[in-house]
Amino acid sequence: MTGHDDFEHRLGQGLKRWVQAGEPTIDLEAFVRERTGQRGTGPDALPWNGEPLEAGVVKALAPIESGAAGATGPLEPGAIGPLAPMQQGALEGLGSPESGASGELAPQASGLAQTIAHQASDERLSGRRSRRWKPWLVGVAAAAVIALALGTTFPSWAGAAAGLPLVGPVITRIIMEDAGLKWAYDMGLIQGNVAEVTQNGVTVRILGVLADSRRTIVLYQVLGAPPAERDDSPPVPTSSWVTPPERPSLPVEAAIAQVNGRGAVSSSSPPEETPLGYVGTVSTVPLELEQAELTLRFVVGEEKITLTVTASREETDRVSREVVVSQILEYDGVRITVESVVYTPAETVVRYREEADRFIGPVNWDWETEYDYLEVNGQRYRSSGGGLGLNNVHHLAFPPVEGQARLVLKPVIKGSPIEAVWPLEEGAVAEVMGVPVTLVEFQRAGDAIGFRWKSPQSEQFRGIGGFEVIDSAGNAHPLGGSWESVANSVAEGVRYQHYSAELPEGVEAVAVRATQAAVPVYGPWVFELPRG
Amino acid sequence: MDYFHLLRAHQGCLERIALAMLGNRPDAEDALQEAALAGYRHFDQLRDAHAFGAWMRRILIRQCRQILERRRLSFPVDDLAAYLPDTAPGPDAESTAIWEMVARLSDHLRPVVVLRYMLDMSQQEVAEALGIPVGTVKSRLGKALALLREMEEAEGRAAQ
Repeated sequence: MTGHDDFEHRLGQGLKRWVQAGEPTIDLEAFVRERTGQRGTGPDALPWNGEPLEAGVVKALAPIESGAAGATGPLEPGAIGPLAPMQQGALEGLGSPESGASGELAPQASGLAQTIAHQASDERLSGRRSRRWKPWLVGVAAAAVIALALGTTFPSWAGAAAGLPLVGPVITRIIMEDAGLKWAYDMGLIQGNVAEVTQNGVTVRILGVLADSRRTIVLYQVLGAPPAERDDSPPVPTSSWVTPPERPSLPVEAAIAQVNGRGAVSSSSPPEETPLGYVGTVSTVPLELEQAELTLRFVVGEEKITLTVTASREETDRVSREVVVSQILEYDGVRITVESVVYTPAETVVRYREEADRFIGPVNWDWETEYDYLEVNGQRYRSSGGGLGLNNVHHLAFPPVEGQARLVLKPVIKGSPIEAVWPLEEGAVAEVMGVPVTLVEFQRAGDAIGFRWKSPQSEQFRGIGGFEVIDSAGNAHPLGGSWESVANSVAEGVRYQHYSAELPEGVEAVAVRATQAAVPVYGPWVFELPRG
Repeated sequence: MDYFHLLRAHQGCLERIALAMLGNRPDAEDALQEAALAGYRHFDQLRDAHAFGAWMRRILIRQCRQILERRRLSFPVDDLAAYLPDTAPGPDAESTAIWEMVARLSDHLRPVVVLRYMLDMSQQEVAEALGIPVGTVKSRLGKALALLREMEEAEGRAAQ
């Protein structure tokens, strides 16, 4: 017997022994009796219609259907009771008397609470799942009420905190949406009123800087920026689906160009235009030292403004604890090293390094079931944010946890080399890891070329990428040099992919080639973390 | 002998099948309750009491499949605790260890392993039971076996 056979044999035998060892743990009979209107309690209370049974033959029992009344169990005292006081308390505690908003909130939240309470009682009345669903519904009710109350009343109490000047609801929202920022703001740990530079009528004001174990983030405001430019490029014919991506026409670009004089990689979301100018954030990786000089570069219309601010982790590190982990898992050419966990009052931050052949292209995720989470004391906590830093180091933030935690990461996508070529003929088929992928359509529009594929949804790969066109001489020309537009989606078991890019000048393409497949590596990526 | 006598005789085994298919006790209880109810209501269709176990297993697997599909479509964040793998000891250390490895498989892989190796169903039967192509069953089995082997090797290394 081979090792393979032996393993499967042991697996089967082990599972069979395990299943045979099962003992009843719930009273199924009582459940069936109750749901079918049978009120007898003993095992013999429900005879076979009183008829003797033939040996080896089981005859039918006419089921006694009782409809909803039969399914309705007694309502336990307090089944709804605990919910209502909690909602009432939440509203009373959060709605400040002077806030007109809270007055408007009460009926809305109360209505929501009643709806959820009603659902909870319905579940309870069903006599099933009460153990699972009631806590969930109560939790959602409380969370919904609190979220509504906070969202409406936040400006009134946040404005009282010292340090960071509030410049309207956008900055307020940015802070509220990030647990670490919100906590740091509440604790006065965001360095406020940091710097301000005015140049030719344009003012860049650094509202705040926060350096912590997860990132280094700068909140800024820009006044005097010119209005957004219009896109003067010629309109793309409406019959064409091959379009270059719309370029942002915002007149403000922000970057953290250097940290302590060394080049840095930063990310920023498009700043938002408000009556108080543009506001936004720009962030980079956590500081390696306790303190560092950040060189910020702003491009505002024609103006280029550089300013330097100091960021410090001193205060935030004082209230956080970093534990070195160094756990490594490696599957199928992908290696993940969890390097450390940082416990703060606001977040649990996991730092890990992912080493894999990168796939260049879009990947379609089923976010309902595929996500990173922490598992603590039987609860799962989804990641509330994160980011990719230098050298493939990732940071994942979770709610603050205590006790033994387990990190579970979603599948990792690696780029696997393939050689799939489609002649430029609609309906051409090429196999990718055994799955037929059809070139449904291709189109030329000006300098752009675009392709659409479809294929049966497969677990072998999540998409294709690394595109090249091939000319009549057989030369390959990589695409995506100046711009590319990509899409990857799944509907009813079919994967649809779209790719368009600028066609290299002078190239007459006769075929398109994909050189990579996005292959999911499932792990299991499970890491036991030290106690928080 | 009646429905409940037969059900009691098979309940322990059915509970474990549900737990193995679904990975957690609350969902397993839901599936069992629905299966028990369905079995009761359709008991007249069963002609051979000796077939009760297989008959109930089919009903139960159908319920489990519905729960798995529902779980895939809707995964309430605040109720995730209900989806954690539950532990259940076997009669010996090896079977317990095997279950604990299988329990760590994802919802895609675990049911395939359970049907194929615990219930000795053919790949065609597994495909029909789960409503997926035979090719998918094969690929999932291959993937699951590879993962289980890796887990076993990792356990072995850790024990050394």
